[in-house]
Amino acid sequence: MKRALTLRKIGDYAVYTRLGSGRYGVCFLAKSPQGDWVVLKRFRRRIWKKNRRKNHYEAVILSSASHPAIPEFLGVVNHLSKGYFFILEYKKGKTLEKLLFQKKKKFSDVEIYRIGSQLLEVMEYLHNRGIVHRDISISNVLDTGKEISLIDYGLARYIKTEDGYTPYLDYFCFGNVLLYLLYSGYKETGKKKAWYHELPLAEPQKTYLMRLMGLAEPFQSTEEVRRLFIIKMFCTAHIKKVS
Amino acid sequence: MSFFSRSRSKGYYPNANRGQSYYKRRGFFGRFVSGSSSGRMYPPYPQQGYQDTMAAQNYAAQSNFSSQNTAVTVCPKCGTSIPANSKFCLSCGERINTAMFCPECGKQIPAGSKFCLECGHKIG
Repeated sequence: MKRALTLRKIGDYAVYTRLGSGRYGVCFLAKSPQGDWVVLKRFRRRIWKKNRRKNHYEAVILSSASHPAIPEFLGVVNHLSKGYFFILEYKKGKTLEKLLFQKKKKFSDVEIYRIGSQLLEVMEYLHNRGIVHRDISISNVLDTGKEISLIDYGLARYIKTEDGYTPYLDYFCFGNVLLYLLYSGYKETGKKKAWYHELPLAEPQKTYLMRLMGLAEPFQSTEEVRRLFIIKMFCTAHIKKVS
Repeated sequence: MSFFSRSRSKGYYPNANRGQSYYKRRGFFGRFVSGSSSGRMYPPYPQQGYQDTMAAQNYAAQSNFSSQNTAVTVCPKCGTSIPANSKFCLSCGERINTAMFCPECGKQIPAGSKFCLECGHKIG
């Protein structure tokens, strides 16, 4: 935190700083009366009104989830003048986006394996509960160096195939995050091609990622994605062939 | 439909064939948006001038979420209908279902507790 100066209060919460913002509105870091750090997620009124049939999903989904990598839903503040807020548990760590593009961090295989498998564990937990996140991205994954948290359930829905809420988008987004991490050690060249031509991948790694990205036969279940993750991506026999 | 709403509700499936120009540079918008969590103080939010902030208190009026596939319950405090399974009333913030009662002595105990704080009876 750059400034630990309390500027204003929202309900019983003392707001310290702004954490981030998006289409939905803004997130603030605040302290609860009990002295715990919480996140106040403030919704822009236009978005809140426009999505009025869908806003409750985040609350319901977070209410039912209980996992160390998923922020807990701690309450609602409906302030007359200051707006409408969800109160969420504050998760420590920096977003992968910040690590990649501000800290210019290069992720090693060990780290990619840790982040990937922890992310898959959360994904499997959600999918087993019939929930798809639909917004897994480098800016929604926090990493402390030891464990990750998956945040922002604004787009999360219950799996409903006829409405297009299927786990395949989560697989795609997971593949996208992996590619970002794999590209962190990539030296840019002049020629621009697709990732499967640019990255030095072994055949099993390429196939695994292509299946995630919907370019090859898609995975049948999250369990399969998780089971094959270590085998296809990190089995040393394959990796040695490349390097 | 605003420009920004052209989005994931309509079968959003991004391009799977991107390369370094995307993964090394955060995509198109990445070049303009600096790190979102830079710790800046947020300027006064321009929403203070809303005419109808009073309407904000009535979640139900704006929120008629479809009740066909969502179980609905009523907040005991403000009477708004809210989705069942939500831990808090989405209008007034009242905690829902938190009141657990000890089956032995009938005292109210905090949700999720394993033992009654009054008589020590084991819960669940």
